[in-house]
Amino acid sequence: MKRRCGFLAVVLAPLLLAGFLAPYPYAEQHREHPYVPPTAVHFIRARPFVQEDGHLYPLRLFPGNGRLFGVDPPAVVFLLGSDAYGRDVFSRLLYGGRLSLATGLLATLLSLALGLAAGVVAGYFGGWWDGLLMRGGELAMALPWLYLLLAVRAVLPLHISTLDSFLVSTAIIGAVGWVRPARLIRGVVLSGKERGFVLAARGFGAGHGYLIRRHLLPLTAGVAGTQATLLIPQFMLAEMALSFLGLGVGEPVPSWGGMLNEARQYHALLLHGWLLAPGLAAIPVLLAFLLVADAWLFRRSE
Amino acid sequence: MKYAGRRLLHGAGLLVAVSVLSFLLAQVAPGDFYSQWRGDPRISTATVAALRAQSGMARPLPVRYGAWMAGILRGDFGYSLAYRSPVAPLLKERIVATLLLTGCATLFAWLIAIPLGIWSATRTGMWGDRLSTAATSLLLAIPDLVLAIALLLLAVQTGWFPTGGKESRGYSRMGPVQQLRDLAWHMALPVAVLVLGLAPVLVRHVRAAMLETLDAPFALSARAQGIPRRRLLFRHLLPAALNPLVSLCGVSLGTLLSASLLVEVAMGWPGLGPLFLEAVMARDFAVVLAVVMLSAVFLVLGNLAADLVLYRIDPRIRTVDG
Amino acid sequence: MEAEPLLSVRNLGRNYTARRRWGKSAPERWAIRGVSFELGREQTLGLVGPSGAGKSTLARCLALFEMPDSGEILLQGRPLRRCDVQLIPQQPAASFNPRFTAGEAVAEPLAIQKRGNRAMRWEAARRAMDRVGLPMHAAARPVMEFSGGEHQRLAIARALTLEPALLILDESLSALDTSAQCQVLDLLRALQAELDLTYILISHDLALVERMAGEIAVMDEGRMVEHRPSWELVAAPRHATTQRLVQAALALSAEEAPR
Repeated sequence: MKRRCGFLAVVLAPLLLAGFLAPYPYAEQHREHPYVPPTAVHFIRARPFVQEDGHLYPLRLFPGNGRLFGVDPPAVVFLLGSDAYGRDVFSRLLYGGRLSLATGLLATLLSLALGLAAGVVAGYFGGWWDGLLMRGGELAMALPWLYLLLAVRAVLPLHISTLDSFLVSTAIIGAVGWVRPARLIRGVVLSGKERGFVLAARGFGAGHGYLIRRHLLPLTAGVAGTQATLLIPQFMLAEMALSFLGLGVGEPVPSWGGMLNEARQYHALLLHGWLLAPGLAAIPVLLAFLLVADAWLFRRSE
Repeated sequence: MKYAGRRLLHGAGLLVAVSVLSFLLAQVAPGDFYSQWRGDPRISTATVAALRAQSGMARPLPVRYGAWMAGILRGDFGYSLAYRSPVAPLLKERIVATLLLTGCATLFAWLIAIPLGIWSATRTGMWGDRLSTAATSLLLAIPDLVLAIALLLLAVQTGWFPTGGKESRGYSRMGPVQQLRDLAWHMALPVAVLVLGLAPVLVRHVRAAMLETLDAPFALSARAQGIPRRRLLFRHLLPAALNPLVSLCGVSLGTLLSASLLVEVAMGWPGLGPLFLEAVMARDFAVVLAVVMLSAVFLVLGNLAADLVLYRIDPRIRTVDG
Repeated sequence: MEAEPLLSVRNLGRNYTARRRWGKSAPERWAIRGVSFELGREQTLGLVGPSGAGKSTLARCLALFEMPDSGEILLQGRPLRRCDVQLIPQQPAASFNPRFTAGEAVAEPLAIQKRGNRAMRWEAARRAMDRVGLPMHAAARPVMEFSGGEHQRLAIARALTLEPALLILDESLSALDTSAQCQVLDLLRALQAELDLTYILISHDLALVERMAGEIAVMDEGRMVEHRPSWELVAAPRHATTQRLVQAALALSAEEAPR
């Protein structure tokens, strides 16, 4: 468990530190260097250099612009090559990952909040509320969610600002995922309601608010945590899918899905294989979440 | 059959709710197909208004819903304004293509998952199980999209497989055997992606279901009685582990129409996915609605089928039926 | 007992009949029916009877956990209020949230009733713990770490924070071993003298009740079939249910005697 959490931290750290680790801003174009393959770094006497027009330029740590490393122009350092506009794929990958992660986290928060609210209300008050919310959940489960996502996205104007688009995709993705947490939390609340200490507190005259806040919500923490580790990667995938289909955040803001869409072009597949990097970068991130979720589930089932 | 009747009624209710919801969704959309002409100097506002009225968009909401619903029950899904053709024939071909893809993929995935899951469950803690668990975890972590593009890369680099489409040029002039071979050749990669995406999920579920029955008291007592291993596995444990798997099977039947959208788009398979995406971009709501409705119908029917099969095979549910 | 009784219960009834559904009406099921009795201040009433006799329902009605469907309960001539009566539940350990510290748990009734501020409540909890013989510094320990007998004491301490006049112990002692039972009984006696408490002690164990209660009421099938001073009831049981209970208790003590 500890090792897995450590792995997760190691995988997420570069994304969170994108602004520091990336040598270039995500939108910075180097028009004279389109589709450059990954830059070769030469080590001469254990010091890294980059070649440009036959000259060697030192790869410097802390070049003074608040970034970890960089190289003086006119030389460029593209660790994972560059795209059609000569933008650094490595930098864009880090920034794009941060965006995916932010979407995943925010959407998870949203659907957990919705799921908690629905689950607690359904489980605690029962009766009419329970019926309504659980039928609503079934309805939400009966909808093909990716289609729905696209349909909702289609309802909105196609070209909206990046921030709006980010918020909209987050909201849509989050609103789709509330059902599972809601069902599980309902179950926890339903059984928690009959626990001795809840009955005792009710005997002392506790109101609904007190019981839910002080006794029932803490009970749901475990389930909510497990669900979060399951939902975050799922939502990151959903964000990738949306932006791959051109319905996520727009250019010039990078996202893994959007970058993969570029990588899918025939010429890219044939000649510019490095454009696939964001897809490969997704694998360890998703794997880390998966492993942590597995470990957590396993521990709870013990 | 009270239970079955209840489930049927339940499914029908869900479908009605889905239809109302998706219909309303299309109604709240700002702008419709005609609004792209709003700024066009060649077409006057009056013309646009007339066109709108002609297409029946000016009628009150419940009337339009009723007309739409009545049409669907007759198999008429409306008129696609972007394609200038009725939606139903447009969908038919695409649905066939999608079902071909997902049907094969689902079949293969189950054929792999059941033996692998059982095998893995009977060897917990041994290297075989560990290997299979690690492999499924890794595969689960690889997005379908990445798999699709990686396989496309393979196709482009080696030329062994086509990079999109459903059939080669001159397909219609081929003999039936050649046609089949051509189809299989085109399907190989998309199916592979879908199988690699689906099988790990199924393997995990089969393994979990089997593990649960392996630990059940009845399994222990059967083992204590010395029932041969193979007989125990297939006569006693597999039927007991079947329930969650039947539900899962219902889900995988239900997602036949909706599981392959991304892969279809990424790999250029002419199924529902690309059509839907185009319709979304062109705000062709008749198509969007039809696709959402159809996939919802599939989901509901898949779950319903699973429920009914469970009712048949599980005596515990039948006793609840009073 | 000429003075006004502390508690008087008149014709109490609680109906558990299932609600009508689909037009079918279920047969009426009364958990308790027509229960009337009076109880004086600083007295202890033992309530015995076979399982399903309605003892717990009566307790829950008296503690206002449930609303009776008929009859009335008066405390010193006025309707009962929530803080007047406290119920010690059947399994005290389960009635504590394992996430709480002992102090938090004991102070919870005060927090729910919004009495005083946090520091005052904490102090009250510590005092209450001291009163039931638990060390004051244990207030910061999690409830989980306490033993069965200590849970019992904690539950009593928690009930006392609201300064009730009547304490109901619903089978609270049956889970304890004999020596722990004796200790808790001693504690209850001391508290009764100190705080003018009145007890209702519910148990299926007649012998235990007899040691503590001045009067005993026997319940069967929702009705109170016999209610008399303990010694009288045990010496000459009138009702068949009481006779059975007394015989069972005698048989038990006969078995224990040789040891």
